[in-house]
Amino acid sequence: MAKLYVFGIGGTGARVIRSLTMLLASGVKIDADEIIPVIIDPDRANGDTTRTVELLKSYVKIRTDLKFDGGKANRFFETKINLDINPSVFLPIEDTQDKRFDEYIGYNGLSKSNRALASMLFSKKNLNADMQVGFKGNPNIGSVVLNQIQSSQIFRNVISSIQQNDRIFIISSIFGGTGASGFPLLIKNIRQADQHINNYAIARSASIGAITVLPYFGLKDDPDSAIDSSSFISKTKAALSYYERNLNEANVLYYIADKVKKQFDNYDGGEKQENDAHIVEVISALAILDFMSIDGQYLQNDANNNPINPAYKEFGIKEDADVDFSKLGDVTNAIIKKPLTQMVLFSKFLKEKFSSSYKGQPWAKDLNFDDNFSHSPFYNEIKEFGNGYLIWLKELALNERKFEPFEITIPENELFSLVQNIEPAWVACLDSNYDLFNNRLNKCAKSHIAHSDSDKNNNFVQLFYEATKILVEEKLRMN
Amino acid sequence: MEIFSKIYSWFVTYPESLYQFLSGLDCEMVEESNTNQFILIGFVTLFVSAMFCLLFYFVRHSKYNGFLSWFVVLLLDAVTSWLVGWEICKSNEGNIPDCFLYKPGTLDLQIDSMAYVAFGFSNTIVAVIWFLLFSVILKRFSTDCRHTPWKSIWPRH
Repeated sequence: MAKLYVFGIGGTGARVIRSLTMLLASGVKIDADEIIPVIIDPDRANGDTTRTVELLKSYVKIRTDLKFDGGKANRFFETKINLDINPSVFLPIEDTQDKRFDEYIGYNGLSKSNRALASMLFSKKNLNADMQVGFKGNPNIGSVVLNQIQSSQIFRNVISSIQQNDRIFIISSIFGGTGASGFPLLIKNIRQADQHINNYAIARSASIGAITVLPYFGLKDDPDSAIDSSSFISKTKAALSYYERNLNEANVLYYIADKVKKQFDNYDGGEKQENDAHIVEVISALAILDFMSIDGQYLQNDANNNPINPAYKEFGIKEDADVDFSKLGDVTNAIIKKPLTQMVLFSKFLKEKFSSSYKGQPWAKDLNFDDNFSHSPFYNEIKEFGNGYLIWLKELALNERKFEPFEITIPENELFSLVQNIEPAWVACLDSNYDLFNNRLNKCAKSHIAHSDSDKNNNFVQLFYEATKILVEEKLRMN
Repeated sequence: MEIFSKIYSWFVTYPESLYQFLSGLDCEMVEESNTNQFILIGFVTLFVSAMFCLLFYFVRHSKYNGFLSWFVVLLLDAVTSWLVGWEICKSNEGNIPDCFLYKPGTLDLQIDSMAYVAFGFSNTIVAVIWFLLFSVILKRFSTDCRHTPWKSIWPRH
């Protein structure tokens, strides 16, 4: 296995990385040793982006205390997310703050003929556009500004860290400004990496996968906003046409689209742009897993670093309706069903039951999960992560199209009915619901008793992984 | 089976003549000329305590795994064992020879209904001892109660 570099461009890129992080936290398997996320977005205050960056940092913080080298069973947070190469996660886009686009290109300093050319390519509205919150759905602006990434020191650091067999994945939307313009530029800058960068040749020949997200949501009409979602389709057509003629550098290109059912509040960008999670983003994250599962022999490039067998993929569901596990294919269910369910149970227990359980249950006594632990930074971090996970699922369930595999708010006395369309099985035990959960934790804790206090955080996560694994296997028949 | 007679001799809260009768002595104090009732009482009490203990440690809702739940089961065992002691004495009421029933040379009863009540309490003490003993043995094999009763009453900080 090798490293995977995930470039998320714009708000959609950030949201797909958020979904990917949630999948990895729940233990979904990916064929990569570690993942290096990079978010490209001039709008650093974008709510979607900052939320994803915080989530990634939280994941890394939690994982620091976990061990995966002892052959133990835990898979929560198993995949390493590496923020050492780029601790801020961002790939900075310089010189866009408090600047209009005409100032950025030095429009007033151009010769008369060049000014005329620029006026042909960019409308007055484009030239006067404030770029503080991105390119507001204008890929023609983005294609100029984002060209600077090739000279960015962080980009050069990232490229120089690429080793043989590492892979790259690029996430972008096609109907906005940043993603639509950033994707072709980024892939070009990787395939033609500056030869003064270390490992440039490896980067140029790396296997690259990408997902292009077609319109899947709309924005409410707002005369004060620069973004008009009615142009999404025409922009998409134009961009697809460009990609068809000019974009052949990706080894695997995934397309994802959905009927536009939901209209979000129309914010140009900034901290208010915080769209609810959507199933399209989850499926986009699954594309990354799929890309990593492809055998390297199908991702070869020729001498000019062009893919020999480029592949194009789409994703389908069983019927055009809201989605739960029963609407997904067997392969997808085999990847996500069990881990997502385990993580839901873990998160719900932390939220609803831990405080009333740890003082009386043997599993807590055996492993010293006492008051000190319940106030420790690690516990608070993982509890917050769990709450974020439940919020993410709730957003997916409230969006259009709904992805609602769980009934998150199910009462405690029906805990194991939380998976839609799965009737919990009978088990030979007087306990049910959280009492059964505690019983299984007690059972699993017996095998951990010898562990030292220094492993407490690791023991905690491992214990819950093992107990939830038993519970989903025996109560929900997920094997 | 002398062990049961021995155990019950430690907690004689009832008339000694009742102890002698239950031990199987006759009026000449010849040992085991009659049935030793302590064998039956002892086995029944042992069995009852074992059953209550097994129920608590292995067949129980996991939320009832603390000291209070253990104590409630102990009380149930104690009450049941009192009834066992009282009932077996009571059922032998017509079989007690006069030499045990009356104070020597008088017609004053020395084994009356209060004697059965008192014997029931002795049996309760024996049952509690069995229950504690079984608790020590069984707790380590229990999933949900392996710290009950001792560690479960220690305060946790």
